Amino acid sequence: MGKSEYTFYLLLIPSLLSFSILTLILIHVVTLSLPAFMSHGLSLLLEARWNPVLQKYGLLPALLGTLLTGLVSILIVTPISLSLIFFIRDLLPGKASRIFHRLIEVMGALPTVVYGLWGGFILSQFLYSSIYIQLHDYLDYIPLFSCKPLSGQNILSAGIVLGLSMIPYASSLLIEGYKSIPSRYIEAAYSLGFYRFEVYRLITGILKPLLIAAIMLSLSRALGETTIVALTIGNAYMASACMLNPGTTMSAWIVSQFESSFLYPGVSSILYAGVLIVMMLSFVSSSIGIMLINRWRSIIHG
Amino acid sequence: MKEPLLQSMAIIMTVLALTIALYFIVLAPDTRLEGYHGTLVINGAGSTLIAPQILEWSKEFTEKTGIVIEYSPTGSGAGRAMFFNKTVVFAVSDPPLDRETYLEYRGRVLQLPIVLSAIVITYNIPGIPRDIQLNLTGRILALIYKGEITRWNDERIKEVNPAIADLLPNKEIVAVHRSDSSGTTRVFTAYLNKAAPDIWGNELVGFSIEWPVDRTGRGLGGKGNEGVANLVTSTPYSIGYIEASYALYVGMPVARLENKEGYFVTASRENVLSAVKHVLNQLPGSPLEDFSMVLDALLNTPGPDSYPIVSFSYMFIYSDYKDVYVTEALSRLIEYILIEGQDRLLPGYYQLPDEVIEIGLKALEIISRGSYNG
Amino acid sequence: MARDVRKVINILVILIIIFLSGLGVLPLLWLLYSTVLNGLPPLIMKGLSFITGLPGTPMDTDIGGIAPAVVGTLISSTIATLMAVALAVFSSMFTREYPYSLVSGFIETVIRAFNGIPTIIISMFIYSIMVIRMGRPSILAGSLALFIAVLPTAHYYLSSAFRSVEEKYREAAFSLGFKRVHLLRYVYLGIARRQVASGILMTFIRSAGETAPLLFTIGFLTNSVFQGIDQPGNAVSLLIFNYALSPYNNYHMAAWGASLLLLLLILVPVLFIEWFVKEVRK
Repeated sequence: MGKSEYTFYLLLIPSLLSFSILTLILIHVVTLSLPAFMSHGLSLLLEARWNPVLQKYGLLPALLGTLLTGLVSILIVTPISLSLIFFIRDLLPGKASRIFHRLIEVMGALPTVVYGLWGGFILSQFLYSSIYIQLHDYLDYIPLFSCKPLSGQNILSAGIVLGLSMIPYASSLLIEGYKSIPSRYIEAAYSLGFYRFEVYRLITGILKPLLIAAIMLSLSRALGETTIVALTIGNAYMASACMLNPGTTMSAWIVSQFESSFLYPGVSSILYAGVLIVMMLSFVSSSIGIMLINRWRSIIHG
Repeated sequence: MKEPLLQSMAIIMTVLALTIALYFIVLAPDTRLEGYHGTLVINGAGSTLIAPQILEWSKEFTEKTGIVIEYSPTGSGAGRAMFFNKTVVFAVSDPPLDRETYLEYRGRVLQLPIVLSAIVITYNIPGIPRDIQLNLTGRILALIYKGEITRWNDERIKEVNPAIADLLPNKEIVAVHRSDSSGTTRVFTAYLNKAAPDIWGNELVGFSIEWPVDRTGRGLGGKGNEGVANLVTSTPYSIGYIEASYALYVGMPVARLENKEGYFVTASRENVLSAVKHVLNQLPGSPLEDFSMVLDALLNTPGPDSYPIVSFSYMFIYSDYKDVYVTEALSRLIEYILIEGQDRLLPGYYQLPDEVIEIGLKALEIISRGSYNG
Repeated sequence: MARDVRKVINILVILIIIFLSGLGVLPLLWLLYSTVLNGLPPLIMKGLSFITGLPGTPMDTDIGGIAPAVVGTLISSTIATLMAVALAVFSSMFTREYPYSLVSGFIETVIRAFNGIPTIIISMFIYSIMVIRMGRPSILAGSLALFIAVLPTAHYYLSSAFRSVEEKYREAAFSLGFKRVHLLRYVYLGIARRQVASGILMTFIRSAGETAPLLFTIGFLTNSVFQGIDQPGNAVSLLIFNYALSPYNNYHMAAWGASLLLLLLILVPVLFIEWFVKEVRK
């Protein structure tokens, strides 16, 4: 039909526009990062240097920091958001449940810069005096805590605040999933004499793909987060296994270096290269997440 | 939308937004430049060393003339990059152009010293009474930032501080430096190199360097002078290099530094001016000339009173903007800074000697010539 | 025997769940509390002049106001939202109408995958193609960066809104002789209008909270409230970020005040939408 084709193309063009903008960005980042990969090769990722005087650069600190903060945030989001869905939907009475749910949604809409402000000024000081010093004093044989914390500004703080900021998002996703589980399964389980925790185990099993999806999507956001990290991580260009050391992530480092990068030959290319890597990791993570969500949805509704 | 509630909410928010926007557009002051309609905005960026002063001047100048000066304290490095990128009209940099860059842009870029400042060493040692000042030398600083002096009660620090040697704690020194491309760092590292060349070599002099102390885990990076000041204030047993005004503002104690002749001095007005006096005859006569050796000349100068880490901050401008209004606005700004502005300085910044002001004023004729040629 | 063990484990698990939930909720409550505690004094001290006044200088005792940031956020977020929603309407309808088309799959994948990218890339991109070309940062550049950043969000909300329109309405429309274009107006935007409206609002809120896209693109106007869309501006989220990094007390207080303002501005619509839209769904 002529008319329907007309509509098809009419809608196609603006839709493709969104797609092409994003592709443009990808092309931009890839082309600008190529010189860095060509001239440095693998050492760009494995070395830890930032020496404009000698023009020697290695992105290891930024990449490692990105991964570490991402990891810490996942370790925090996963158990807490999983607990929250049972807490809110099952353990709390109706009214309290709705209030909590609303609270979580409000926190989800809060800009990350406010999380960063609070994290950098208040939480990190608190963690420093109450936990970090003790962690180092008692557990310094574990490499993670082997360095002496100088302040609350370190990789661990950044990871913690990052994780806290993602709880609303992960919880919402999981609660949606919980709601879609046909109640007859749960009722059946109870009627068989299951205790609460066994039912929870069952539900967690059913939700597993969704849980992994939530983790992947949260990770994808954590890898790219800028403001929370820049305000809590201490901005030191070093790569270490110790979480109590200050460090940096790719995004935070770009905040610090991008504007002046044009003065130094090759530096802006290196920054693009680093952010390309993080972008790829983020993309892979979120793609897995979305795939799992779709699969889960088709199972549940199919 | 037919829903009354939603509709009304949407309308209210839109009207509110438009009203607020309109209110301010209408109220924006008109620039008082002959023939110019609306407001002229001049953007600059650069040094955080003297940012508080420039921001203060910008605000007063904007209020006085209606020409809006927007200065972004991005650090000398980013400021210069933006200046050469032409995303700002002027830049402010603590180090002057090095000889190569100067030759590359000769005739096109002018450098005018607009502020005189001193880099001080601030520290945070709980337990040391505030009214006692720590004595430090260039060598000790170099060793600290190299990671070789690790504790406050190191013998070498005790040696120059007999009065408080017992009070110095057995705690690790946290050395705070800049994480971004910094003119302050360039000047500070040049000082370390001049005062202790055997410890702090040439490869460690620059806007942004690899700090040896970072490898020991006791280094922290702050963004801008303000970032360093913040970190020193909030990190016990730390040390950092910042402009005098920042130290005064955050109320942190400041060390007395050993100068070339062996005296321990503070960054007082007399001491800073004493340093500058010894350099006056070495200064170029015009903003079009090469200032590259002035940076080192101002460090560790002779004179029993001289403070060892003194720096000018330079305004970089183009000789020809091809825009009459921008040129005129910039001229007024330069005039304001060099004449009126020198009388309204924040504590921690020092008045330029007349000879230096003269150099800057020459820029006025140079750029006005330029715009009528283009 | 086994029963008792299970009972104990049951209680343990429930306790752990409560503990972990508390561990998650308490810091968030603390954040809200801190924002109110630290943000209220500056707002009270300055009153309305907080929104209408200009920022103070670093060593000033006066907190100053955040007018340039407020205006900048309002303008840039409005432009970004309008543009994003406009595009998202088309892309959402496209993917809903032709779900089996290859292009559809493409669009969905790309848009959803870009949901997680480091938003700072957007800033770098716009800086290179716009800020350098124009010779200065500008509200327009910031708006474009925000638009790109919230495009996935707009698509997500609008797609959900469109998908919630049941098939029967579509079929009814066709049987009445509606053309596809009219479908858009009457069926999608008409029936799903509450979800669409709340989607627009949520997109606006998201764009007002974004910081990274604005970093190198919008500038940091302080001595004037508004200079034009092609001139540098400011934004509330950006102001909070920069002020948080500074050591000046008055800037810190301004940052808290601005945060509280953002919190209130977000709270109101979000709660409103919750209450309003939930009433429609059964």
